Order: sequence, then structure tokens, then C-alpha cells
Amino acid sequence: MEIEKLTIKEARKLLDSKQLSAQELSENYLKNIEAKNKDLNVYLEVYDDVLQQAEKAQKIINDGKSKDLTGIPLAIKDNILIKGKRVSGASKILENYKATYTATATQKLIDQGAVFLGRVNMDEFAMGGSTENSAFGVTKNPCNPAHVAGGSSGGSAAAVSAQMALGALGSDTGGSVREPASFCGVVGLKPTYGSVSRYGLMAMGSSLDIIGPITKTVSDAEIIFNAIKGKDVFDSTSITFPTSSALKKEEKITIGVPYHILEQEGISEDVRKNFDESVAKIKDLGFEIKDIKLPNIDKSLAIYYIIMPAEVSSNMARFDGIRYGFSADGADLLDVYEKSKGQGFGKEVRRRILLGTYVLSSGYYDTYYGKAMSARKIISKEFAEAFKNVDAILTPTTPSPAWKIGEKTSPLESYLIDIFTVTANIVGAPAISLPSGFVKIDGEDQSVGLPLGIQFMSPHMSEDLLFYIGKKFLGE
Amino acid sequence: MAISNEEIKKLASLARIHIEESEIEDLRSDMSAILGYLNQVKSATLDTEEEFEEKTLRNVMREDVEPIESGTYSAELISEFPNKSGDYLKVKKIL
Repeated sequence: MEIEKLTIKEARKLLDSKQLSAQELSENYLKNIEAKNKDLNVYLEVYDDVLQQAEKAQKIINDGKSKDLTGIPLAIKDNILIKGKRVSGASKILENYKATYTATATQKLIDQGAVFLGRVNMDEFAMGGSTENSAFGVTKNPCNPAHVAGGSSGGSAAAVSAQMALGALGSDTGGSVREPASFCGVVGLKPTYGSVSRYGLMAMGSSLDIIGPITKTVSDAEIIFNAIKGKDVFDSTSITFPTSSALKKEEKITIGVPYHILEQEGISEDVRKNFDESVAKIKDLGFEIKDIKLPNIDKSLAIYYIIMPAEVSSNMARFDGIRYGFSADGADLLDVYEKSKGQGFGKEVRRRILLGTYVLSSGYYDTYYGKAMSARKIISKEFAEAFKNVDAILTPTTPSPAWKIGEKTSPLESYLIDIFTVTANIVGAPAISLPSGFVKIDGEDQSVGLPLGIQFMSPHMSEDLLFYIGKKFLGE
Repeated sequence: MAISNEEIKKLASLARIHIEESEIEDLRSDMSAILGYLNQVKSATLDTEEEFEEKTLRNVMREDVEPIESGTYSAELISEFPNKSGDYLKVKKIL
């Protein structure tokens, strides 16, 4: 078995034809984790029941009842719950917390007999773009360990990229699936808001959050997405996904490129060059490219960094040192709250709580939150208008490749990396990041390049269109 | 948008977060920079006057039926209490 070339789809064939047992497959990944995890810091915990899970899966296969993900070894982001297993959100405040229920998305995978290898690193409570905000150390980029793996689902992307899992679940609030996928050279899907239940996903920005797959191929992302999607009684914002396809194969697919946003500052030359090459490739594949204008899209990042912290400040209020998680000793109840939060939360989480408290405070509510909410509607309208003329919108996934660990020193500087990804969360549309090539970094080993990615966005519930374009682009 | 050290302290107290005196200056300068950037949200404008109605947002209600039997989840939840006395949460004095 060549683990480098293995995909979920391929593994399915090997498992069903009995060329490989579920136990053997999982053992291979456990070995790889054992060999690489010390250096890369991808897994926060490898579960002790992996082989038992694999044995169960093998029984399902032997009974001829295997489904797409039966026996497939997956990694799970440390903010998605499995009952009885530790889950920390990569935060000290939940370091020893054991989940008291199972997330709907993971339950659906468990029902298929998927094997969970363990929980992987992330930025604390998904706040960040590099895993540098994890309370348990940074995850290194498997393509070049001096660089970050991206984030917040950095562990999920690194696990797939380093052959430490066949696929992974991440979560995406402003790019947290797509950005690390692009940094690690793998595929990341942020599904339509509501298409995957948020039940059992630690809440960050509730109007933006979604669970999404990170995989090596578009076909694999489609397999996981189809397994986890669907309406759920435990999440009132979840939606019933239409069974009919949004794909009109008989018509030529038109892809809009908002070239005007590529002209702004901060977009690396390498990214622009790679993007132009990707556009040429997409044209060659028979798609039509159209230059489009999204006049307010440059405000997306500001809108996002108002709405998200506002929701963060409200969601993080539940960690009070009383009902679960870390509790600091204090003189009275208020002192316990303040010290538990002060010592339990890392710097970025505290900063975003304060920012959210500020934009929601009575004196500034209209200036920031109120304004952001109306601007959110404007962007949604702009997108709806744009999708009357084009089927999908194409941008780079990020303005630059993965940065060096420790290189970014101010929070604002790290926020700017989300410039292309936040819009899909603001409007709730699906988006996919596809690997589009490598860039060599000056002054570094020229044999190791850093991956780059491109992002397609499409109208709500048209994931199948993204899968169609993605498979063409990657030659699947 | 400049923000003062006093405002940082006030926000921390509203959010019930203990902030070290030594952190305040850094927080103030970071937040001032971020708020400065966020000000551009004010310039978002629609080219048409017509109001855009978001059709997808609505309240989702359901009848309060089929209650879960009392005690079903208690053991797991109680085992996560940092401080307890029997099956009760134990907290420090409130006043």
C-alpha cells in the first residue's frame, strides 16, 4: 500500500475487495502518527480505541454492509464532540473536559463505521489562522516545518497532508477550513451555512460557523460532505438539502473573477502569478471566465471582524469556571469568574471577547455592530446579483502562502490573511479551496515549496457545482 | 479609533475577565489598530435605494413536547462540575 497515493475512494475499493483490512489500514496511520507527531504537533490525542473501532468496521465490511466511510481513518478537530472523549477546543479552560454528548456530524460518521484516530490541534476555540493560538503549541506545516500549517483547522489540514489521516473534519467561521487546506496543499470545503448541523461543534460565531471536510481530493470531500449533511432537530438553523442537482451540465459554466480585489495591497506576486496560471488552466478546461465587480467586497473583512467577535463575546460567556472546565480559586463568585476566564483563556480569545464587548456596548452598537449587520445584507445582495450572471466566483484562497512560525506579530496583520475567505461565511455560501501549485521561498531550501490554493464560491446549496469544477481542475 | 486604558479595564470588567495591569497597554494599542481598520465598514453602500430583503432568516419554533426523562444526562454533567457537594454545584459566596 502506498499511503501517499491513497484516497478515501481508493481505500474503499481495497477494503471492500478484502485486499486490506480496516485494522491494517488504521495501523498504518497510527504508525505514521507515531513517527511524525512529535515533530509536527498535529494530534493532541490519539484515541486508545482506534483498533477496536477498526475491528467493528471490519465486521460491517464482512457482513457486506459497508458504506462510503466504513473503516476509513479520520482525524477530528478538537472542537467537535464525541461522547466520553476528551475535547478541549485547544484551550486550557477545557483541558480536561470530557464530552457529555456526540456531535451530529460525528454521529453520522460513527454510524457509517468511520474510524476516528484522534483529535487534532487548532487555534484556541478556532480563533486564528495558524494554530499559533493553540494552548498546546503550534502545528508545523508538513510541506515545510519552519512554516505554519494555517488555521484554525491547522491540525486537520496537516493530518491529511502528512498522511496522518485519510480525511479530517474541520470547522470554518471565516476561512478556517480553506486557509489551512491551501497552506498544506489539500482540499478544504466550507459547505453552505446550515447544511451540516452545528450540534456538538463548540460555538464561535454562530451565524458563521460550519463543519467541513479536509481531504486529498474533491471526490473525497464530496464523500464526507454527503455523509455529514442534513437537517437536524438539534440545530434549528440546519437546512434540508435538495436532492435535485444545481448543476446544469448542458450549459457552459461561467466563472466570475472580481479582478478589482486582486489589485489591492498585500497580495503576494507569487499568489497573483499562480492565480493567473490557474485562470488560464480553467479556461483551457472549457469554462468561461468573466471579469465581475463586487463593489463592497473590500469591506467584508471589516464586517467579519465586527460580527464574529460580537458573537464570540456572547458564546464565550458560558466558560465561567462553574459548570465545567478549568476553575480558578477566588475570594468570591465574581473573583472565580474573572480569574477562571483570565487564566483559562489565551490572549487572542480574551482580545476577541473584549472587542466583541466593545462593538456591542450601548455607546458603539450603532457605529459598529448595527452598521456591520446592514453591510452584511449589502454584500449578500451583491452576491445574489453576481450569481445571476455567473455560476461561480473565483479568487485565490489567501493573499500569501503559509508564513514562518512567529513571523506575524500584530493581530491585525494576521486578520488580513482572511481577506478572500470571510465573504463566503458572511453570505452563507459554499466555497472550496483547491491546491493550485507551489511557490519557492527566497532564502529557503529550494527543493521544498509552499503550497498555494484557489477558492471557488457558488450560490447556496450548490456544492455539486463546486465538486464538478473542482474535479475538472484537479483532473479527477 | 483610539481607545483608552480605562476603557480596556471597563470592558474586561463587563466581560468578567481578569486582565493583568501589564497587559493593558498592549491590548489598548492592538484594539485601537483593529478598531481603526473596522471603521471602513461605515463606507459600505448599496448602489440602489431598494431595500434588500433577506428571505432566508426566520425564527424556528417547535412545540415543547416529549421531554427527556429527568436524570437521563445528570451523571455525565455532574461529573464535569469543578466543585460539588453531592449532586449539587458548589460555588463561592456571592456577596
